Amino acid sequence: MPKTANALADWRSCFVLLVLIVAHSGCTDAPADRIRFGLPTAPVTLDARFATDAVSTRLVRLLHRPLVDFDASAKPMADLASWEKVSPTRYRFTLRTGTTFTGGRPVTARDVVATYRSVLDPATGSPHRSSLINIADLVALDSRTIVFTLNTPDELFPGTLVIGVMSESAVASTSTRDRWSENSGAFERLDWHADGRVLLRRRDDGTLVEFVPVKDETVRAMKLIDGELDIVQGNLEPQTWRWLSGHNHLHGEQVEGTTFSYLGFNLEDPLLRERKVRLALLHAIDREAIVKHVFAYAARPAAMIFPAQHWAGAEGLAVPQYNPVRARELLTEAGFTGRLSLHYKTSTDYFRLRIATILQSQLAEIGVDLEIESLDWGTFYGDVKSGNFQVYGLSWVGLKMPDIFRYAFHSTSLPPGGANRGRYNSATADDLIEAAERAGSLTARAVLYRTLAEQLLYDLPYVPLWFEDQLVVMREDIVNYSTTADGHFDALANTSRRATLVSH
Amino acid sequence: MTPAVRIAALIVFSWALVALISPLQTQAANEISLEHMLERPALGSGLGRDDLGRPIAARLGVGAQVSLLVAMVVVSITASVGIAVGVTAAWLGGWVDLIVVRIIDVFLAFPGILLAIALSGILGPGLFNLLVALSAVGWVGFARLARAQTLSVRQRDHVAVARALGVPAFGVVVKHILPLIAGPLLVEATFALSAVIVAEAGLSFLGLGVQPPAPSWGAMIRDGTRYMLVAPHFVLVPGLALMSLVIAINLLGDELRRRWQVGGER
Repeated sequence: MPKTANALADWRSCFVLLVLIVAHSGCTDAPADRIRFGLPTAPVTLDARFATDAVSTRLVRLLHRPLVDFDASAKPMADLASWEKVSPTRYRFTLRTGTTFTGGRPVTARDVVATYRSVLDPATGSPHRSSLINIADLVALDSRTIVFTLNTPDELFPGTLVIGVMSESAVASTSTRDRWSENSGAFERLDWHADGRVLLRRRDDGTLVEFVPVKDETVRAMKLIDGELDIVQGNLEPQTWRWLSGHNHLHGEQVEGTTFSYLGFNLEDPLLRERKVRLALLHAIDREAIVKHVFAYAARPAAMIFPAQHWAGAEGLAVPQYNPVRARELLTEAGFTGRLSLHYKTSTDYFRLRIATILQSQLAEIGVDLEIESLDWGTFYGDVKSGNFQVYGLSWVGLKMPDIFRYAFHSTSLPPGGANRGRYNSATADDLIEAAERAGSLTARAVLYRTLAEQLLYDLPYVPLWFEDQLVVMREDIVNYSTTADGHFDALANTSRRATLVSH
Repeated sequence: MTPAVRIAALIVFSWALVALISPLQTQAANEISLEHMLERPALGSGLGRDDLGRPIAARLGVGAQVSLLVAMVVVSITASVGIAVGVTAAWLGGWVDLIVVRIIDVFLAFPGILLAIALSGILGPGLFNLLVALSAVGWVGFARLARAQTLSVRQRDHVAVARALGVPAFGVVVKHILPLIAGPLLVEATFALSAVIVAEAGLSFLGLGVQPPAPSWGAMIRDGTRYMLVAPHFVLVPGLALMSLVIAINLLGDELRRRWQVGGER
C-alpha cells in the first residue's frame, strides 16, 4: 500500500477511536445493580474485635450488631439486647427475639459470650480489651440471657458493650472464610478485594452496596459527578461539598457532628504553665471567622469536649471570645512584653496544615510567633502521646462515654496509661471527676460534669476549637440515605435507588 | 529574530522584572484574608485569591523570584562544576577521562529527577537542600558536552601553537578552548535553566522544596489541584505562569542554537 494510503488509514482509525472515546465519556449507564459508596480510605479490618479506625468501625456496624447502641443524647440504649442491673456489679442482658445470623441461625447468648471472651483474652490482642477490663466474668444462663459480673460498680457499664456480636464458630475459627460467613447485622459480606473495595449485600432485600476507596478528594468528586459513585462521605473539604451540593444530579446533606477539635498545651512548659498565656491564645483565635470562612459553617464553635446535646454536655458555657486587644493585655500582665515563640505540631494532612497556617497568622497579631512542624501521623501521634510537644492540634472522634474526663484530665491519667498528655494537674478537677463517677444517677453526674467543664474552661488545659459536621453528597436518584453525628453508614439499611436512566 | 522569539524574550524579561520587584510583595503574598478565600480573578482584584485568601498575583511574583533564583544558582554551580570536570577529562585523557566518562554514564543511567527526589528526601525539605539536590544531578550534562567539545578543538592548530610556545595548560584552556566551546555551553545553559525551573516546581509540588508559607509555583499548583473543581484559577494561574516561562526560555535557547549553528547545518 502506498505511504499516503497508509497515513490516511491511520488517521481514519485515530478519528474513529476519538469519536468512540468522546461518545463513551458523554453518557454513563446508571450502575443500577448496586449502590456505590466512595470512601477516603479502605477499611483496615472487618473483624468487630479489631476495628478501631473510622471506616472499619462504620462497616463493621453494618455486618455485626452490638448489644448496646447510643441514642441522640449519647445515652446507652438497647440494640441486640435489653438489660437490667441485678446488683451494683451484676448486669443481666436479654437478647431480643428474631435476630439471626446469615443463614437463619438465631443469635444466642453463647455467641455473645464467645465474642466478649475473645476480646478479653490477651492472646487475641483486641484493642477494645482495655475498655472492658472491668468485666470479672460473663456467663450464658440460657440461649437468650447473659450475666456480666464486674470488678467494681460502674453505672455506665452497658455503654461499653458496643462491640458487634460475631458467631461462636466465627470467633473460634482460624479460617478467613468461616470468620466472614455469618453476619448478625443488616448486611452480609460478599467480597473484599485486594484494592480495598468491599461488596456487601443487604440481608432483607438483597440490595448490593459496594464501598470503593478513592483517596483523592477531587477524583472522588469527579467520579460522583460522572456516576461512577453514588454516595461520597468523609474527608470532604467544606468548599468542595458546597460546590458538589449545588451540582445538577447531586444533593448534599450536612449533619451536626461530634468530632471535637482542640489545641493541647504542655503545661510543664515555662511559658504555657501561665494560665494568662493560655487565655491570651484563646482570645487571639478567631474561631467564628474560621468556622464561617474555612468550614463554610460546616462546624460549630466548641466550649467543651461534648456537644450540648450530649447528656454530659453543658449548654450555654461562656467561652472567652476573640479579643486580640485583651490577649495582648494578658500577655503583658503575665510579664511577656516582647514577642513570644511557640512550637506547634500537627499532622501532614493538608486541611490541618491550613488551619495551622491560619492560627499562625492570628497569633502573630498578638506577638506570638508560631513555628509549625508538620509530621507524618505516626511520628506526630507518638510525640503527642509521649508529651514531646509545646502546642499541638488534634481531634477527639466518636466520644460517647464521660470516662473521657478521667482518661484525658485526671492527674493520674498520664501517658502511656492515660491521655493526660499536657500533664494537667488540678485537685478540683480530680475531685469533680471522682465525684461524678460516684454519683448515683445520670442527672447528678451531668450536673458535676457541667461544673467540671467550667473548671476546664477556666484552667484551659485545652483550647476548645470546634465540632466538625458530617458532610455527605449523593446522586439525586439515591433515596433514604442520611448519616449520623458520628458519621455512621447505618442508614444504608434503608437506602435505595429510584429507577431512572442517567444520561448527560 | 522571529516574532515568537521576541515574545519569548519579552516574557522572560517580564518574569525577571516581576522577580526583581517581588521582595516588595513578600508581606502581601503571605497576608491571610479569610473573607476573600478562593475569590476568582476579576477586573480590579488581580488574579484571584488562594485557599487562605492570599493574593495569587503577589504569590506568583514571589514564586517567580524563587524559581529564577534557584535556576540561576543551580545552573551557575552545575555549569562551573560540569565544565571544569568535562574539560579536565578531555584535556588530560587516559585513565582520568575513562573514570569521568564512567561516572557520567552512571549518572545518565539514572533519571535525574528521581535522583533529585531521593536526595531531597534524604536531606529534608528546604531551599538550601533543594539547591544541593538539583546541583548534584545537573552537572553531568555540562560535563559531557564540555568534554566532547574540548576533544573536538584540542587538536586545532592554534591550540598546538600555544602549547608549543609554552603557554601553561590552564592558560590554553581559558584563552584558546573555552571561547570556542562557549556557544554550545550557553545553549545548554538555557535548556538547563528551564529544566531546573521545572524540577524545582516538581520538588516543591512534592513538598520537598520551599516550605510554606513561602510561595513557590510548584507548591501553588499542588495546593490548587485540591480546588480544581471549586476554584480552577488557583491551579491554572501558576500552571500557566510556569508553562509560559519554560516555553519562553526554551524558545530563546532554540534561537541561540540557531545563531551559533549548534547541531545544525553550517
